[in-house]
Amino acid sequence: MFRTILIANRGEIALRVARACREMGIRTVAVHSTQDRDSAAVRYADEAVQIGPPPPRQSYLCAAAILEAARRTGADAIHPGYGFLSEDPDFAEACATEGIVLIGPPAPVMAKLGDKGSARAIMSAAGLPLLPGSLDPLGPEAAHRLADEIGYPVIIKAVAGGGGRGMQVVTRSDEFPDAHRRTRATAQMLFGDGRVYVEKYLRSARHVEIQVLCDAYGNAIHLGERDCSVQRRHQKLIEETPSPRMPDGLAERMGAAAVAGASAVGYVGAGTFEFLVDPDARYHFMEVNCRIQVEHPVTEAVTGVDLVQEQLRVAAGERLTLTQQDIRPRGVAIECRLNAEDPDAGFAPTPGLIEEFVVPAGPFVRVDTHAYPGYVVPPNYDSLLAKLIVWAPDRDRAIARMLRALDECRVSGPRMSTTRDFLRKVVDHPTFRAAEHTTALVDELFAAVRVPAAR
Amino acid sequence: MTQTVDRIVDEPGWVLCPGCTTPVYGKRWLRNLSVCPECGRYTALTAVERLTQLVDDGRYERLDLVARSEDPLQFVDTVPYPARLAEARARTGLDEAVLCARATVEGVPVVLAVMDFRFLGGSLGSAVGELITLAAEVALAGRTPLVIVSASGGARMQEGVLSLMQMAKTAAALAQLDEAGVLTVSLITDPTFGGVAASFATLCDVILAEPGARLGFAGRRVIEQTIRQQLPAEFQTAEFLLDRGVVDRIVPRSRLRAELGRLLRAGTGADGPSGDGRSSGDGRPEAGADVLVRDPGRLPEVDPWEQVRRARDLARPTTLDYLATAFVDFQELHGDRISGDCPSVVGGTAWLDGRPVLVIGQQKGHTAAELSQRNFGMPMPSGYRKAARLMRLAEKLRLPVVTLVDTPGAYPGADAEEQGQAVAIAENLRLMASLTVPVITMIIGEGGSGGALALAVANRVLAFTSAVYSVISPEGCAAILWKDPTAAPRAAAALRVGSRDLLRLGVVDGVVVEPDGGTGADPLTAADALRRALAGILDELRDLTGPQLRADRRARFRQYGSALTVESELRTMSQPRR
Repeated sequence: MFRTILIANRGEIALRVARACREMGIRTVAVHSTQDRDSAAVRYADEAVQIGPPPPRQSYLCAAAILEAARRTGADAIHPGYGFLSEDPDFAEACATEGIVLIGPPAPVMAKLGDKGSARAIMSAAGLPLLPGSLDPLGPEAAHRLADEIGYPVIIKAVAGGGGRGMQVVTRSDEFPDAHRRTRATAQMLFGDGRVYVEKYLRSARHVEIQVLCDAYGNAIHLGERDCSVQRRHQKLIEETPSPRMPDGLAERMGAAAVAGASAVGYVGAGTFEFLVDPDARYHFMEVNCRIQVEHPVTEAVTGVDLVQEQLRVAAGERLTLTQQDIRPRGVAIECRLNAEDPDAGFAPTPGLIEEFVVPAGPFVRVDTHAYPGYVVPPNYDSLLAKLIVWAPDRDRAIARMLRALDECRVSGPRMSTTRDFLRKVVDHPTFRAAEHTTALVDELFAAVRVPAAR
Repeated sequence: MTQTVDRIVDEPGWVLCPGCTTPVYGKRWLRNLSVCPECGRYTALTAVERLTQLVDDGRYERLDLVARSEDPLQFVDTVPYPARLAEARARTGLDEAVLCARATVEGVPVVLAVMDFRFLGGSLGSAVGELITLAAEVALAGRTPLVIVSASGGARMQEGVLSLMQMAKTAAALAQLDEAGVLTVSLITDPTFGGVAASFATLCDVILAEPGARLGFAGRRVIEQTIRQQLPAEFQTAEFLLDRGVVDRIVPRSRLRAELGRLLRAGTGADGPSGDGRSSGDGRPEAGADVLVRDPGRLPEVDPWEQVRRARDLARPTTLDYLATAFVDFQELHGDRISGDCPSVVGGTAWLDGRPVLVIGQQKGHTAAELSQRNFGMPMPSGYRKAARLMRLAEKLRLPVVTLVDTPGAYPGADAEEQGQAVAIAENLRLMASLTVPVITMIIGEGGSGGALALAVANRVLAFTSAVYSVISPEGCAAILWKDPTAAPRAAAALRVGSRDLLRLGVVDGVVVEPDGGTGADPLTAADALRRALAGILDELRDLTGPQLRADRRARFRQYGSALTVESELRTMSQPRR
C-alpha cells in the first residue's frame, strides 16, 4: 500500500479522499491555491503545499506544479479527485514517467475513452448499443444516408446552435433533404455557421450510469446503477440508486454491458459508464468517466463498499477481493447537491462569506462538505457546498428523509444563496415522487414557474 | 524577437511557453502544433516541422535543387560569413534557410518552399533566392500550384546588393507563374519582413497568415527610431493587416492543411469538396430552363414602388446567405491589397453544381447591426478594388465569375471620394469588359446605379422577380426632378426599375421567379432557383472560347444605344443619391 498520497484537488472531495487515507493509515498531502490556504482539506491533511494563485490554470490544473509538490513531499501516488486533472491522459502519462502512481486508469486507456469517437468505436465493438448519429458535420447526402440508417425520428442540430434554436426533428425520410437544407440555411442566417449534424432523436430519456470497479488483473465488477436524470444544462442536481421504474432485468443487463466494456478497454480502477435510457427501455452508451464521481456516495450507501478505498487498493496493485456476488445493494439512497447558487438568478454562483452553516444529521444521513461557519466560498471554483446523502429501505421513505434533511439544513451569509429550496421543490414534486421524470424535469419546472410570472 | 522553445520530442519533457511561462507537457505541446494550449501563443516551427504539419500524412519528397551560399563580398562582421553559414548548417541540419519539397495537400499535388527562421534569421541570400526561383520553375514545368511559407528578417546583409537582387529574381519567377495560370499561395508566419515581405511573400495569388504573425517592410524598431512614430501594439500583425486589405485570411495552425486544401481544390478544379460537392446535380439536364423567364409577357405587372420596397426587404437572403445555400464550400478571400477590406463586398471561391467558380457580391444584412457592419451594402473603393483583384485571380485560374448584386449604390461619402470612387468603378467596368472567362451577374435585390454596374458587366445578367435596377434611386430622382422626395413612387414608375421592364429593355437576359411571398419567405427555394439558373447559364456559355466570351460581353453592352449608356450611368455619379 502507498505510504503518502498527494490529493490534487480541493473542496469536499479532497476531504473525502483524505478521510479514506486516514482510515487506511496513509499519510496525506494536500495541495492548494493561495485562495484555499485555510480550507478544511488543508487543515485535515498531514502536510500541505501551496502550488499557485487562485486561477485553476495556475494551480489545480498546473501539472508541473503538482508533480513538483509530489516529488518534494515524497508522495508515491496522486489522487486526482474529480474535475481538474482527473481525466487528463497527459497528466497520467507524466505521473507514470515520474514513477508516481496516478489513481485512475492507465494513461492510454484514459486517452482512448476521453476521445468521444474512439470511445464509441471501442464500446460499439464490445457490444454496447450507441445512440446513433454523426459525430461530425456531414454533407446533405451522407447525412441523409445516415438518417435512413439510424431510423426516424432524427434530429438535425446546428453545430453552433443551442437553447432549442437551429434544430429540427425529422420524422420521415422524404422530409429529410428539405429539412437538412432548411436547418443549414437557418443556422447560417442565425449563427453565421451552417454546419449541422444528425442524431437519433429521443423524445425523453433518463440518465442512468453504472459504477464499475476493475483491478489490474482483469477482474471487473459493477456496483449497480445511479439515476441522474435531475439535471439542469447537463449539471446533475439529484442522484439516486437504484434507478426507479426500470423494467425488470434492465439494470442487470446494463451492468453486464458496462463490465464487458470495461474489460474490452482494459480499464483499471473505479469508473462510470453513462447511458441514456429511452421510453422504450432501450439503453444507449454515452461515455465513460475515468474518475470517482461526485455522486459515488449513493452507491456506497446501498452497497456498503468504500469506493475511494477500493480505488486505492486497486491502484496499489492489489487484487479485487469483492466479487459480483458480494455486491448486494440494499434499500434506496438519494443525494442532493447543495450549491451556493441563486436559482432565481439563473443559478448564478453566490460566492462570499457563510455565517451560519448547519447541516443535517440523524439516522442514515451523510453529509460530505468542506464548508463551515466563517468559510468564504471562493469565486474561482465550482459552487458545490455540500452533498446530502440519505438512505432508507424504500424510495418513499428515502424521499421523506431527504425532505427532512433539507429542512434541517441552514446556510446563510450576507450574499449567500443556496439551492436548498429548489432541491426541496424537486424532491417533493409529484413527477419526481412518482419517478416519472426525465432529464427535461428541471426545464419543465422552470417553464411552469415562468408562465404565471410573465402575466 | 521570436523566441524558440527547447523541446524534447522523444521523451515526455516539458516546454516552458515563452508567452505565459506555463510549463506545458511536451507531448501536449507538440500535439497542439507548438501553439501554447494555455495562452494560445504561436511559436516558430522549423521547416521540417512545418512541412510535416502541412502535407498529407507528413510525407514529402525533398526537391533535389542545387544552390549553396557563396561569400562574394568576403564579408566579415564579428565572425567571417562562411563561419556563420557553417554554424547555421550544423545547428539546423539544413543547407539553406529554405527547404523545397513536393507533396500533396488534401490530395492536391503541390510544390512547397518553406523557410526556416533559425537559419540566419531566414535571411534572403542568393541561395535562398535561387531555391525559391528553382521551386517556382519546377511548379511551372509541372503546372503544379506553388506554396511558399515565409519566415524571414529580410535580405541577407552578408551578401550585400546581390541579396537585394533576389527580390527581383523571385518576383520575375512568380510573374511567369501568373502568365501560365499556376496558382500560388503564400503563408505568412512570424516574422516576415523586409526583402521577403516585399517580394515573393506578398506576390502570391492568395496570402494566408498565422494568427499574430507579423509582416512588414520596415520593422517596428526602424519606424520608431528613425521617424519617431508611435505605433499601436497590434501594428503589422496579421489581424492588423487583414483589416487593411493585405492578407486574405488568418488561419489557425490546426486548420492550415484543410484550408489550404480547399483553396487548392477550387484553384485547380481538382475535385469537389468532400461530402456534398455535387449535391444538386438533380436539376442539371434542363437546369435553368424552368426557373428562368425570358419573355416579359410572362411576368406580372407589379406596382414599381411596391417592387422597390420588396427589393429592399430585410428578410431577403443576402449574398452570404446564398453562398451558404446555393453554393458549396465558399472560402472567403479578403482585401484589395491596397488600402482595406471593404465589408460591403464579399468574394471568394466556391462550388456551384460541382464546378469551381469565383463569387463576388455586395453584402447587406438582416438587422440594424449587420447593416451597419456592412455599411448597408454600399461599397467603398476598396470594395471595388477587392472585386477587381478577385476577378483578375479568376481570369488567371480560368474560373467563371458569378456576381450577386445587392446595393443601394456605391458609398457616397467624402472618404470614398478621396480614395477615388469614380476611378475604382470605372476600372472595374473596363476590367470586366476584358475578362476572358464567363461572367454571370444575378441581381438578388437592389441594383443601385454605378455601384451595381461595377459588378455587373457580364455575359448574362439575371434578376429575381422583385429585384430592381436603376440609374438612380427613386428618392434621388424625385428630389432632383420633382424637387420632392415624396414623389419617389412616381419616380420609380417613370424610371421603369422593375424586372419586367428590365427584361423588356434587354438590360437583363432572364428573370428568376421568386417563391410566393418573396425570397425572404422561402430562402431555400430561392437559393435553389438561383443555383439552377446560374448552372444553366454556365452550361450555355461552356462552349465559348475566351476571346468569344469577351466579344460576347462587349457586344452585349455595345447595343445599348438609347436607353442607358455607360457614359450616362457614370455621369450620374456626380449627383446626390438620396
